[in-house]
Amino acid sequence: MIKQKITLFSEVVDITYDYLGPAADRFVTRQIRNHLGKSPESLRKKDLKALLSWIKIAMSLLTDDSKLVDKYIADLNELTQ
Amino acid sequence: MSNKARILYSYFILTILYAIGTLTLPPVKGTLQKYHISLLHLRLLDLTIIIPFALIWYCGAFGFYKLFQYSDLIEKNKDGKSIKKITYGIGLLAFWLPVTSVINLFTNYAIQRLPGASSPILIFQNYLTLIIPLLGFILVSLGTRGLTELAKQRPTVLGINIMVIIVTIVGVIYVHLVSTTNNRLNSVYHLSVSYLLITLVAPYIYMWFLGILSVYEIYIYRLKVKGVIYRKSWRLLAAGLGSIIVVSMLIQYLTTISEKFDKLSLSGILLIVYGLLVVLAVSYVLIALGVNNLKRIEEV
Repeated sequence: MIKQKITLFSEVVDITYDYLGPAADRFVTRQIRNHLGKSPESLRKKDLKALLSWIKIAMSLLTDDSKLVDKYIADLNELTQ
Repeated sequence: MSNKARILYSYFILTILYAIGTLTLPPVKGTLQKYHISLLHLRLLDLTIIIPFALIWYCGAFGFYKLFQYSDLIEKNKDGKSIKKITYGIGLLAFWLPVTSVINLFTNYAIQRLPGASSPILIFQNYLTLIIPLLGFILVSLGTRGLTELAKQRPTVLGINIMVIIVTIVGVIYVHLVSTTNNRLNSVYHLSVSYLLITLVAPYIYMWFLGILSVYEIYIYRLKVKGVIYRKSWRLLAAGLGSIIVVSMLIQYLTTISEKFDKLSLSGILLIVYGLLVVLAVSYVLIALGVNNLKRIEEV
């Protein structure tokens, strides 16, 4: 059970790595802790929708490249399937 | 006391000491005659040096502080450990000029008062001017090495060969300049040739190798590290770091062969000094701007 939760977090980080490199782990951890109020290990599929909304907002603050943000969110959306 | 306060207080103390020393200590004998100027004219010229110096040192302290802030944010992570080393290295480079300028100013006055002590004082100045940036370059190099390991990249064989060729040429010219300038060994270094080559010249060449290697590794990291947005954010920081390393090397090169400048006019010397100061100031500003971009990733 625990393995599954960690894997979901790792998958989010893996995708994020293509966009934020070494800052990916910290970025995702912060979004989960600050906006969902939980630990990264306890991330579940049902949390993903809310997490993606927060990540989209955060990414919009980091770049003006909306295509890049959309692609990132689309990549993350695949995890919700 | 916070890190910001510590860095800024150090900057203010050094700047005030430098201003007081420059404006109140008597000029080196023969300076007024050499440049055909009055004491008032010299003090006004001193002011035109003190103000840009204060600004460039401030840019250095500010760039260092911003980098310090960023490295604090990520220090527990793999990239954070490498950035921390680079930060301390840049800190040493940022404070190298103010510290050596202030110490040299007062010790030069001591030489005027105690001509007999000139030899040990000049030797001390030469080693101090070497040791601070050498430690800085070693730390920066350790940091950039860590970053390339993180990006799983190594300098290419071609890259290493180009670096070695550059350092060899620069080093050979440097040895030639140091050892052939008339009276240089006695008037500046106060050391025997073999001792000078082993304990001063060799460390300088080693330091420049580290500098060139660091610039190359920063370039590799900036180009190859994963993360489209992260990589973009590194652009300014990489440019600033690379530029500081190159300009620091240029300053060291020029100051250690400064006797060659005796043939230049006052305006020629000022032009070189101001040119380097402007590039150095811009480099520290680039660091501060680059750090802002990276910090934003850690804060949203």
